[in-house]
Order: sequence, then structure tokens, then C-alpha cells
Amino acid sequence: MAAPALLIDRPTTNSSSRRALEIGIERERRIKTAISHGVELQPPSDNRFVVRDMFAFSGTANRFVLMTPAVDVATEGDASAEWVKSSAQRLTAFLALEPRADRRRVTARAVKQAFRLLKSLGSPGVPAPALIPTLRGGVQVEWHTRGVDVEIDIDPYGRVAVDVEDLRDETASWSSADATPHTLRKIRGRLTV
Amino acid sequence: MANGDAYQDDPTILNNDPLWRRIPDDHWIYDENAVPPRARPSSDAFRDDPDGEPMSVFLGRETANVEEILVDHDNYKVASVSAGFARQLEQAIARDPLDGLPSHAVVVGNKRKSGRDKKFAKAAVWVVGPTDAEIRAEIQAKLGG
Repeated sequence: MAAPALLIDRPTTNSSSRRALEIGIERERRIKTAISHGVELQPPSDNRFVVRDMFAFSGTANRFVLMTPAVDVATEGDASAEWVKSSAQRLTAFLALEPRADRRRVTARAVKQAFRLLKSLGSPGVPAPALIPTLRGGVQVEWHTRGVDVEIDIDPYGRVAVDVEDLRDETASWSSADATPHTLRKIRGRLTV
Repeated sequence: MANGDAYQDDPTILNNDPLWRRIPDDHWIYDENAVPPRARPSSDAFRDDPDGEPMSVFLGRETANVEEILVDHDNYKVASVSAGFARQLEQAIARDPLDGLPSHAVVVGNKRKSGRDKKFAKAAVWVVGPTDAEIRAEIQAKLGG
């Protein structure tokens, strides 16, 4: 039997969504359990993704809806690479990872920053990155292809560190403690076919 | 022990002794730049613990079988680097036995300086690695976007 769909809805301020947000810990637990059992993440029809730390729950047994005002990243109407959408879904799922002794919960701030960077970097021709939920509660975005290793480390507070190692020309390697538009253009240029 | 300053390198751990590191299932990547391309751990798998404790490993030579370090760690992989390689990266290795896990040790030193975490990740070889099916799925996910 196919896993039920998990729909990620856009934020609203009407009373029904406020009620949904107040449903509480038990339903938060249920939705995380659903995700851990392979519930498929699907974007809603308008291709907007919404994420927050504390999930609200609404819907029937076969249909879950997350509602939150915390993060809202549009993926529609631009020339993004196809993988941007699937990466957004993957990042959303990071928020549901249970913390363990060796791992902290991934923060919404880190996910939001990762969304922002991936949208900027995800132009056609740029290959899909690997996404790692870091043990400290951040996100690491990695490319190891085309003769270059790119690692973008986003800490739990959304701060960014970039490391680019050019395996063909060591003098072309560089690192940066932020992700300015210029930095991102350099990464895009190096990764684009 | 609360912090790495209290540990000293243990000379009874030989340079060619393997250090086994547990790798969470979502902490490996497919490195197309490797020759030949291969799955390997992410650099984040070779950093100190979030609570500040030094990186946890097991002495492979003193571990009866790898399964014993994977109890309660479903789906984890295990990667190995040599003690000598860790020392080349200015790390100290100290025994830190745990209840039921006497081969537990810690690797003490700055992992972020000069990309040491990435050097660990690139040097690591699998003891328990991702399956061919898992690697194919990872590659397919990238190709499919």
C-alpha cells in the first residue's frame, strides 16, 4: 500500500489554522511518527513549502497538513533546477528527525537558510547536492563532482561557512565565512557545466 | 570526561591500529571526484560531538565484532581510519572505555582546522558501508533531481 501523502500547506491566519496550531504535542508526535514510517512529502499545488520547528497536525489518517508561519519558500515561477523542489522536501523532513544522544534537532533557521541558498544556487546546469542534517542541528550542503568539492556548512543559527576545494587547481580553492551574492555566483559558475 | 584537554595520546594504540567510527545513515555521500568514484562519509561525521565531547571511536583491534558497537544504532554504518592518520592530523587518541564497550576511545583535537574533518572523511574505508542498492538509490536521487 502506498504511503499516505504529507501535504505542506502555506501559512494562513484564519481561525481554523490557529486551532490546528494549538492541537499540541500528541499530534506533533503523530506526524513525526508518520514521517518516520515513510510518509511521502508532497508540495501543495502552488509549490510553496512551509516549515517550522513545532509541527501542527490536521487532517484524516491518510492526509496530513503542516501549517506554520515560520518559513515560506516559493519554488514556482523561476528557472530553478528540478532538484530544488526535491531538496526542499528533503530539508523539510530534516525537521522531523528525532534528536539523539549524538544528534541535536535540526533548526528551522538552518533549514530556512539552506532553502535560500539552494534556490540561489539551483540554476539549470548545476547538479543536485547532497544534503546532510548535521549532528549539531544545522545543515550541510555538499557537491563532490566536476573536479570540485563544495561544502556549505549552515550552523543551527543559520550562519554559513563555505569551503571550495578545486581538485584540478589548488590555487583556485577558497573559503568564505558568509554566502554573499558574489560567493554564490562563484559557486554556481564552478559547478555549472 | 568533560573536555578534550584532559586526554593524552595513548602510545599503546599503535599507528596501524584501525579506529572505527559509527556513521549515521544520513551521513554518507557519493563522491564523484574520488578515483574511482565511491560512497564515503560526510565530513560532518568526523567532528566532535555536539556536546563538546571529543569524537568517539572504537579500537578495531580490540573489538570482538563490529556488531557489538552497532547495538541500539540501527542503520548506522562503520568507517575506519588508522590511528597513525589521526595523529598526522594532530589528533591524540585516548582510551575511554564504556560499560560493555571496553574498546571505546576518543580522538582529541581540532577537527575543523585545515579541513581535517574532510581529510578524515576522504581517508575512511568502510567496515560496514552502504549497500549497492543504497548507493544506486543515492545516485538515482541526484540524477532524478
